[in-house]
Amino acid sequence: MGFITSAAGILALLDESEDQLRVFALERLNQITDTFWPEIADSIQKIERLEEDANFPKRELAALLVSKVYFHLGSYLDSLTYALRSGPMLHQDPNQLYIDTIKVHAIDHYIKLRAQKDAKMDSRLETLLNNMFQRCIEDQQFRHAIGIALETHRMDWFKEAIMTSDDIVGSLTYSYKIAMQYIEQRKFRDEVLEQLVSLYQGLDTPDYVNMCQCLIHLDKPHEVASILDKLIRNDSLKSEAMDNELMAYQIGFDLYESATQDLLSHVRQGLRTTAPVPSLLRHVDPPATTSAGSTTSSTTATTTSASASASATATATATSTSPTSTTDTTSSSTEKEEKSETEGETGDTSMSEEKTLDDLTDLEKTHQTRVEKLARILTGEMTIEQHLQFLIANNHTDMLILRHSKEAVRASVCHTATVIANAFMHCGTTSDQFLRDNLEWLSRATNWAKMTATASLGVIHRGHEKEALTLMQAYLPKESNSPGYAESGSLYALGLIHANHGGNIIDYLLNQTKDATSDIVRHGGCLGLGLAAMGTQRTDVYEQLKYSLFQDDAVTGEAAGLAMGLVMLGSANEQAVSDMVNYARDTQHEKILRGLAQGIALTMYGQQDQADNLITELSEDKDAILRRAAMYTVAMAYCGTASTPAMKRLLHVAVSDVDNDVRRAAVEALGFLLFRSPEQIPSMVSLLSESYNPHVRYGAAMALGVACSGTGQKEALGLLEPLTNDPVNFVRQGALIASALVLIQQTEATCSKVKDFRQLYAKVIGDKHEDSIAKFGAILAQGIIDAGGRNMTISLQSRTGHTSMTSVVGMFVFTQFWYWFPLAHFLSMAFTPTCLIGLNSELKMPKMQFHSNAKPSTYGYPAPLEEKKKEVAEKVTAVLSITAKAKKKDDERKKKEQKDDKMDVDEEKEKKEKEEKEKEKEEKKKEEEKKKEEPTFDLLSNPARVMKAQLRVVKMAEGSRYTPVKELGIGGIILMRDTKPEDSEELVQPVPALGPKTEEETEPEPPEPFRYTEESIS
Amino acid sequence: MTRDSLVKTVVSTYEKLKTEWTKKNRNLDTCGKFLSDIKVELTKLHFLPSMGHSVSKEELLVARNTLEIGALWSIANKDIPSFERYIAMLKIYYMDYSEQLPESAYMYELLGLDLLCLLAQNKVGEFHTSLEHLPPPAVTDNVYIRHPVAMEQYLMEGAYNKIYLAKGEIYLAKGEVPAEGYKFFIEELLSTIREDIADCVENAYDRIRPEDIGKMLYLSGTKEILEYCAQRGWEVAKDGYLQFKKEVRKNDDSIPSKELAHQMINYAREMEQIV
Repeated sequence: MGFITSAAGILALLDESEDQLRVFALERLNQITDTFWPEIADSIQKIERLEEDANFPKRELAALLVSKVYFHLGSYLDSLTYALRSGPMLHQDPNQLYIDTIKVHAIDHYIKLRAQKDAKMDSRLETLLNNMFQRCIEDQQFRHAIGIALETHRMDWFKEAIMTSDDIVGSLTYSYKIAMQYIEQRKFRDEVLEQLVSLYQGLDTPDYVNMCQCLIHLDKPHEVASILDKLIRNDSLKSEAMDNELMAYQIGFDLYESATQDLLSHVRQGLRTTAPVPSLLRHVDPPATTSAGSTTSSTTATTTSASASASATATATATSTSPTSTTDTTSSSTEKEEKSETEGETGDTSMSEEKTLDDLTDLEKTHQTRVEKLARILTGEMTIEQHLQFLIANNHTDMLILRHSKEAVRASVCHTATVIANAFMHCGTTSDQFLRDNLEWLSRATNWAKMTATASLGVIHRGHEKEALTLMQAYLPKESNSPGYAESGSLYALGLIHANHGGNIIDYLLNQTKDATSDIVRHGGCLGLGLAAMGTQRTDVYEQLKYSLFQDDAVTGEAAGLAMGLVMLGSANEQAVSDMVNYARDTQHEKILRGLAQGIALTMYGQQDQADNLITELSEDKDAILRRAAMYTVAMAYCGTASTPAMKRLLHVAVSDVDNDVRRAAVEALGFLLFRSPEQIPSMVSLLSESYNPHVRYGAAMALGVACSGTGQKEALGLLEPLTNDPVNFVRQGALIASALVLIQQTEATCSKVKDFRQLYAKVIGDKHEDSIAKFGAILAQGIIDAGGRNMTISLQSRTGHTSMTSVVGMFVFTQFWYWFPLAHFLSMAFTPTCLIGLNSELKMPKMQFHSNAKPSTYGYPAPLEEKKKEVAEKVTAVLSITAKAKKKDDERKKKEQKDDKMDVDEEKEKKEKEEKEKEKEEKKKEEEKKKEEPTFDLLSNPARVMKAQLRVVKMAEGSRYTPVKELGIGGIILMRDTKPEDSEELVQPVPALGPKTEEETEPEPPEPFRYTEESIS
Repeated sequence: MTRDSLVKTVVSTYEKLKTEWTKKNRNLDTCGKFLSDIKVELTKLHFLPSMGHSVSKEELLVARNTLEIGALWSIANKDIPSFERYIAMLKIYYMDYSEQLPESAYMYELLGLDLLCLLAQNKVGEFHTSLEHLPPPAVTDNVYIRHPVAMEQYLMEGAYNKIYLAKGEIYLAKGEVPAEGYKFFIEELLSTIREDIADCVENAYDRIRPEDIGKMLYLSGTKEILEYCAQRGWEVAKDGYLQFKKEVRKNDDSIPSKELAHQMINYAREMEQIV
């Protein structure tokens, strides 16, 4: 036995003249390469020469040897080249690390070659890859096989991998996920999705839900429509596992959640043509539903109230008030005319149509009903209604928080902030209690603050579309000499209520904007119009906005620029972009430039590399605002992609631009790029958050807030915490707002820091020496963290993992509050209710329960503020600040009021007269509570508040008669299949919306159960 | 063929080679033919064992002895690369298999020759590496090794004359020569040294008389000197001096101040920009 210490002897043999000796040497060397490669590397040229010698008998051996030496030298491409020449010998090599490395590089190299269309493919490489792929299949490594197939753009492999896999459904889901997440080239992604659609189609039980998801991305509304039609047309597809009707409805809800307005309208059109009586679908509400036997009292009520309001508003036209909530928003104006023509004769046609309906057979009748239901779902009406119901019923706003901030602040900036915070807290709950209780306080808002305050009603009544006009009636433009701030706000509010779901309100807003007399009203009108007509690309709207822009009025122009972008959202319309860019270069007004900068960015939403030229052009502009527009465009065009080149560009600008605003915008944009992978962002901005430049620090804070919104991520909070103590006031503001974005809906169980931050907000607001800019942030933060009655969260991606367009746009425009406070209201679009709603086939909420396998406190509501605490705090301020007697009196009066309040709210405490005793008892109570063992599960009743993290532990309650159509874990609205259809169902009673009732109304409304609701709320 | 019979064939070929080699008037070509035959046959056995094979002593011995003859044969053939190859192969047997074999009588002689060979080619680094592999007593006591070590010392000291003297001694007193093969390498060494000195002379002098250069280069006769001059391409001028053409070296020592300043400013700016 012996081991050599040097390969020199064997290497010497290579110089011998006999082939036999050289072959012998190669064999020996091949055995010892892993140890002696440094020595062999010196004579590698000799071996290469042997390999190239056509007469040499063992060229493959030589190639293998060279390859191994290059492998050890770390020169992998050379190694791969020689490995390919070594042929079958490669696979016999005992060094597994070497084989693996070569394989990895072979795959990489192959991917690179496949990406270059004209590259010459090495057939040996292809064979190698083929073998590897086959082995993956044989070893049951189907996911690897799918991955390789996608990476190498080999559709044939892709199909084979999925079809041979043991879990075809799982593989399909997996492929869909990686296709959406990792494939950046749009064209190839479409190819993959098409393949997936055909695979889904081929399954034994076709997976229509996922199929439609793919089709949304492929932008093929007609295929979606035909699938839906197929599902509702006959019951032959019905089986134990699947109820085709419910499935169609479910797809409808999913579609509304993830598709654009444009696509949805095409689907609806497609559906309409298949319906037995297509014309009926235009007026679903009164006649059709009655005849179909599924009337809802609410829809009838809508019609009455809508028409009532129509008569009240002088300017409203017949078109906009006629009850056509399901009519399509089409881009072509000709169709528009045609529609209004038909609507003009509503009365007559509906009569004749009813007759035709009677002629239908039973089968056709059911079909007709189903089409109608589906159409209502697709308009989003159902979703909005259900969400509204959920938010109203579960409103858990803590009024005390608002009251604290209201009393603590004096500055008008903070006043505005409180109004906005109130709007956020009550977003979608329709509860404007706070505003009505504090009318006097509210009247302090003047000028633009008044506009903001009025618009905040729009946020509060978000989605409350049926009575939108009635609600805003008091403020809508009339013949008067007022400056028009309230009017402006009301139009803006209408836009907020109808955001991304314009329907007929678009025309109303269009006319209002056209007829507006002052620039202020026009400002609100433009904003409202932009919101309502978001993404519709309607030419008439666009032209009107352009006309407003060209007035060269700073106030109007700002809103018009933004609104143009909203209307053209994501269209990359060349004409629109060039209009905006050219005007931006011409105008003298900074405000208009700002608006246009946002507009341009929005137009390029989701365009990815198609926007590159524009970005490059803008980022080289001399004007800082246009450069900022470039940064916004990066944020919008690449949102959620985490594209490396885009991030490089942003990071470069973030540290090199001379303008502070541009740098801030660049850093903020990082947040938009990375919201899909929030765990990456803290490390990326950690250095930036320590920048010497406060604007960069602010940007870093906001980027964290945007990317980690709703996650409660610890790293992000770790970075934000020091920023809340920043010496610069607006950095503190940014950090406070961002922390609220991160912590929204987090409980102490899911994120321990939430309590500290809540206290911090209160502290900042109460602190006399704190700057009002930071206070502004703290107040807003309070609003955000408890948004929508504590039932909403912020997520820039939808439940199914799509980029949620409205959320992204809402968040983006929200960040513009830096320049223009009213834009803060846009955040309402980014809020999504965290709900789990079960619906039956009649699209009603049956009474049912969900089983949440977690302690109730883990995901529960935070405890409401204690009244007493507030009093203590107030005493301190009273001692410190009040000198005037009048104020003292005022304070005492307030205290009294609060005491009264307290008695109402907390009856238990009422019994105790002395505070001391009360305290003791409370403590005892707390202890008792602790001692009491918390149940390990919770039963939630429909509609349930289920947080994102909680979805994982939620299942149907045991013994429930309902079974979900799709997995509960996705959340949102889920159709339920009734297993005992013969039994009668118990339905959840719809909750009436809150809000002011106009006194002019002639019809006596049912008495508002006001007292009752308030008790149930608190 | 079984292993034993293979071994037998190799041994018989080796015997033939040995008889041919020990003859007075040996035929180098025949020896070369035998050598390559044996090597080819050895490849079928455990020639140059690498990874812990157990090899019979006989095989090892035959291989070693053949290679030793091969090395000597290379010197006789004045084929230095071939010599180096044999030595490289032999080292496996000398170093890695020293425990399984009795020490060869030729070992130190061949190793010494190897050292000298490296020295002659001015591969001082490798010389020392090889030296490190030898046991310390051998370096100081063994006559074969001591000689190249001494040579190297002279070389390092610059005492070229001593090397020249050593050569003289070899020729004068035959008893001092460690082995026949050394002469060959000493010649090689001297010519290497001569080249070295000649390089230095070229730089050190503008012009020099051929006689003086003869002394420096240890060339005795005028004829030899002139031959050497012709070989180096030196020309004797009319005044009897050798003229050396000096290469004009470009002087480019100016400091690239502008570039440096530019770079520094760039760094400074970037430092400022970083966060």
